Amino acid sequence: MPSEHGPADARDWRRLHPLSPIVGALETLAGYVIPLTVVLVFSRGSRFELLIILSLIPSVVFQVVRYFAFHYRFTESEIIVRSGVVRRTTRHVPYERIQNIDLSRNVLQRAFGLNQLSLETASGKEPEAVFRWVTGTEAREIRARVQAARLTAQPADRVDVGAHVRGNPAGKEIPAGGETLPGGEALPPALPGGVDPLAAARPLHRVPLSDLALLGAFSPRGAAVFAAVFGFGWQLGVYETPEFERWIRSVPDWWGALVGHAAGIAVMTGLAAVVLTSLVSIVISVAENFGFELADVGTELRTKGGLLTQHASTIPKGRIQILHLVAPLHLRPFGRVRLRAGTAGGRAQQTVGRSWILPIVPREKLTKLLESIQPTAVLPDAEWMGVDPNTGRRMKRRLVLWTFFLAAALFWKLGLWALLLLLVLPFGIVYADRTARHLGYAVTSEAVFARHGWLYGRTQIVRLSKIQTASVVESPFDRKWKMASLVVETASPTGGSLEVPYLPADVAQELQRHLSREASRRQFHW
Amino acid sequence: MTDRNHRDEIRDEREGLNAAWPAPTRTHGPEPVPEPEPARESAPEPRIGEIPPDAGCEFRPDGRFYRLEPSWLQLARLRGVIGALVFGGILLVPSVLAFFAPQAGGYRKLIVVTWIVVALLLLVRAWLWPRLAYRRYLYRVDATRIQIRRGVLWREALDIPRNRIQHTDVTQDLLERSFELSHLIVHTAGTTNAAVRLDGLRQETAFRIRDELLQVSTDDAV
Repeated sequence: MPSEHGPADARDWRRLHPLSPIVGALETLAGYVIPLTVVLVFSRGSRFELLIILSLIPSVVFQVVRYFAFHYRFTESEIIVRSGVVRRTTRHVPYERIQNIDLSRNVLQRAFGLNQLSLETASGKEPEAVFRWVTGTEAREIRARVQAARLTAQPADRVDVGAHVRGNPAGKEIPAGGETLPGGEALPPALPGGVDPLAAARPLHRVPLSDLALLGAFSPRGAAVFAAVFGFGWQLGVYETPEFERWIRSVPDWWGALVGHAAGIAVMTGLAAVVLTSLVSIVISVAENFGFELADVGTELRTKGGLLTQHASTIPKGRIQILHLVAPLHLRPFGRVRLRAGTAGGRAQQTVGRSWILPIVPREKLTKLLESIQPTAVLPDAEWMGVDPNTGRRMKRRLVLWTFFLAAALFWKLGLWALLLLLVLPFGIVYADRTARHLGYAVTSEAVFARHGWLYGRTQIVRLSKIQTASVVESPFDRKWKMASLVVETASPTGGSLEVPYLPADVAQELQRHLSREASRRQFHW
Repeated sequence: MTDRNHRDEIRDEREGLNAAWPAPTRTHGPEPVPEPEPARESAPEPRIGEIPPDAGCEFRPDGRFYRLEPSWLQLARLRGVIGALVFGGILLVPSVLAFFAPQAGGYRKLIVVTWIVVALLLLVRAWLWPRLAYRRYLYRVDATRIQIRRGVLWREALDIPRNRIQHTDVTQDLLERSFELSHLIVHTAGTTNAAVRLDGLRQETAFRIRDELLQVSTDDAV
C-alpha cells in the first residue's frame, strides 16, 4: 500500500479501472443510439450515417487517451491526481479538505462493476477530482481514507456538529446521538461506547415506494417527457404520414365509444392526459430515488438510492452550511416534507435527486431525524416570530395596484376582455394573506430559522457558526412601510442565503446585530 | 491564544509590506491621531437611513460611523462623467445617422426629445447621484464586526463578523491613484458577498482598517 510521503515511486501511481475507456466509448455510443437509429432508419440511401459514425472516432480516441493520462496516488495526508494531455495538471487534495464524496453508477457501469467517484472541496463550483471509473473496493478505500483523516486531523470539525461540545478532547469519539441539545440535556448515545465511524452506519430513514410515488404524482416532469416525445415525432414527420392521420381520425370513434357521450370526451381526454403525465412522473421519481436511504455514520451522513442509475453521497454533518425544509402545498395534506442540505462544495451534477438529504419524509419523523442530522438545528416550537403585521396589507395593495395598472394597459389594446384579468384578484388576495401569515423567523441559541411562503412552505435553517455575513436591505417600498429584509449568507453556493423579508425595520436591525455578534463568537469551520 | 512572538512577526511583516509600498505623502487632512484602545462596545444603533452628523474620515475602531474621503465624491463624479461620455458616444452615432436620414421625418422630434431625457438622466447619474451616494456611504468597525452602509434608493447595511474575514486586499486603481485614494476588499467565504469593497479610503486609512481587522483574524485562524 502506498503511504509514505517520500519521492514519487512509480508503483504508487494508480490508474482508473482498465475497462474505463471501453465503458466511456460505449457510453458515448449510447448517447448516439437514438439519433443513429433514426438516421439509419429514415435517411436510407444518404451518406449521412457514415458521417455520424466517423464523428464518433475522436470521442473514442479521447476516452483512451484520457485513461492513459489519468493517474492518482494516496499519501498520508492527501490524494494526488494527475490528469490532462495537452495541459497536464497535478492536483493535491488534502483528505481533510474534502467536503463531499459522491458515488454514482448507471446501468452500464454497474454491468462492469464500476463507480464514478467525485471529491468536492469548498473551492468553486466544480468538483475537485472526478474518477471515471473505479471499482467499488477502491471507492471504499478513498472514502475510508478521507474519513480517517478527518477524524485524526481535525477533531474540531467533527465536534462542530454541536458548537457547545467543541471543547471535547480530541481522542474521544462522540456518536451523533450522544450530543447535548441546546437545552442542555444529553441525548442517550445511539450506540454504546465509541462508534467506529467506518463500520457503524445507523440507518435513519428509508423512503418507502408509496412516498416516492406520491412525490412523483404531483411532479410535472412527466409532461416534459410527453413534450419531448411529441417534439421528436414532429421532427421525424410522423404526424404527416397517412397512417397517423387515419389513426387520429379513428380516435373520436373508439374513445367516444369508451367514454359514452360526446360532452364527456373533452373532460375525459383532459383527465387521461393528467393521469398519464402523472404516471410517467411517478415512474421517473421511483427510478430516480428507488430505495432511498439515509444513514448516520457518526460524523457524516450517507445517502443512497436509485433504480437504474444509483448514487451514493456522503455529507459531513459539520459541513452542512444551510438546511432547506420544503413542505409544498400538495404534500402537506399527506403530512410529508422534503429536506435538502447546502454544503460549501460544488456539486458534481446538480440533479434534483442528489441534493436532497431526504426527498420525502413524514413530518412526524422529522424532529427525530433532525436531532441526528443537525442536533443544534432542531425546529423550535414556541420561538417563532411573525413578520410585520402590515405585511398582508402591503402585499395586497401591491397586487391590486399592479392588477389595475396591467388591466388599464391591456384595456387600451383588448377592450373589455382586459377586465378578465381582475378575476386574478380573489386568488391573489388569498395568496397574499396566507403568505403573510406563513412568513416568520426564529432564533435559538445555536441557529436561525426563516419560514417562507405558503405555496412551497419553505423553512431555512442556518447554524450561527455558519453565518458569513448578515445584511439588512431596505427598498424604497420598505421605507414607506418602515420595513426591511434581513439576509444571512452562508458559504453554500446554491441557495445559500437565508432571507426574512417584511420585518419591522428596527427588528431587522436588532436581529442583524445579534446574529453578527453571535457569529463572531463562534469559529467557522468549512 | 495570542502568541506574542507570532504577533510581533506579523507586525514586522506588515510594516515591511508598508515599506515596500510607500504611502503617498499626504497633502491634506490632519495628522493621524494615535490609536486609542478600541472601545469594545457598540455605540447606540442609528437607524439604517440615518446619517450621523458627526461622522468623520479619521478611522478608529470604536464602533462609530466613518465617512469616505471627500475626494471620493470627485472620483465618483469623474467615473460618472466617463461612463456618461462612453454611453452617450455609443448612442450618438446611430442617432445622428437616424436624424439626418431622409426618411426620418416626424421621428426627428422624438430623437431630440429622447436625447434631452437621456442627457438629463446621465447628468443626474454623473453629478447628483455621487453626492447622494457619498452621504449614505458609511462604515464602522467594532469588537465583533465591520459594517458597511450604502445605497441611495435600495439601502443596505452589511455586517461581516470579524472572524469570518478570510483575507483582505488594499488596492489602488489608475483613477484612484490621481486622487490619492485606495479601496479595501474584504473577502469572506460567502457567495454574493465573497468580496466586499469599501471605497474612498486614504491608503493609510485602508492599511489601518486592514491591520485592525487582521488582529482578531490572527487569533483564530480558520
